[in-house]
Amino acid sequence: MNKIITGLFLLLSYSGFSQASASASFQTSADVVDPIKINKVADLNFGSVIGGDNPGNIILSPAGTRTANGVEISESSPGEVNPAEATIGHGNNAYSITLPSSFSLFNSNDPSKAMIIDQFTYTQTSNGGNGTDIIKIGATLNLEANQSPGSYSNPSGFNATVSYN
Amino acid sequence: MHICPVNRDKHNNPRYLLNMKKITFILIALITGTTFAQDNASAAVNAEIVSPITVSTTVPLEFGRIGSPSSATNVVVNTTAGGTRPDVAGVTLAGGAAATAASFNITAENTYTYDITVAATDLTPNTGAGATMSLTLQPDATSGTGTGSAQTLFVGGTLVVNSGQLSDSYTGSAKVTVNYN
Repeated sequence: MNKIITGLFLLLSYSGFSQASASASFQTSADVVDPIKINKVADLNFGSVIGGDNPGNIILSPAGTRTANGVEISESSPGEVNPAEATIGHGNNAYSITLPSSFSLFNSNDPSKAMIIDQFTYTQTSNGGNGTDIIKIGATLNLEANQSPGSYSNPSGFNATVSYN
Repeated sequence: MHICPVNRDKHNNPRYLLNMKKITFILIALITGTTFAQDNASAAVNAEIVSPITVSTTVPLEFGRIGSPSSATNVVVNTTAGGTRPDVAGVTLAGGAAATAASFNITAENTYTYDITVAATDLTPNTGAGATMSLTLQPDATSGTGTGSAQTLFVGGTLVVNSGQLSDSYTGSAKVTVNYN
């Protein structure tokens, strides 16, 4: 009520004294935090997969283990296998991670031949409690029946996006 | 009492202009703040698809024509190209169909290693009541390393011909399995 009365008084004053302006002060506050950051450490490598007559997939876990469904992997020649890895600087603020729903790889000899990866998964671990985390990202590689042999890649890379909540 | 004249044109009012500047500054600060609340990184993805390993028969295992022995006798087809059939005491190795070792083409990805396993069934008479003859296979390798091109595997074997084996054509089946390891 006091505020309303004050306001009325000022308005009256304005017309009564023909003042050119009125002002009121109020408090403002803001917490400034470091910008969130993410930096890639390692690319996502599914290694070698043996194609088959039927479609199948390879699930690469964030821990780097592969599970073959409907296709086979060679124990003696696994190729280079590792999950993607990145460091996140979050200053001990809550944040969220966004990964794509799917991503395409293309045959290096014939780009018309492609494979889809999807079902991205990740794990977060604290990197020593200094406001940074390490995330490891796995995904599922989907093979068609009689998938053409060769190297498949996509150097443009998939995006991992981090945002403060 | 002196009353100051009021400037009614706000665009020329210095106080109004001052407020406008403040508002503009705050908006810029908000927009700048938004860009720092998010960041992204991209990771490349790689995978290699390896050709499935294949094996196909080019020559079947053939023991040729064998005279019935008076006692059980092993007849061997050597595990070599062509598969010679050594003479065996007590058995007449007659002419007719030439004895040959089986031959297979294996195609595996270059540098990938694989295992070879063989399995055979006994030979049974095609028409008569002759006893079955047991067959053991001898491949010339139990493992290999792919080259990306066809590699030849020879498989010979040992056939146990029974005493007084009835004359007939006998057939069985053999299977070669290859697996990447």
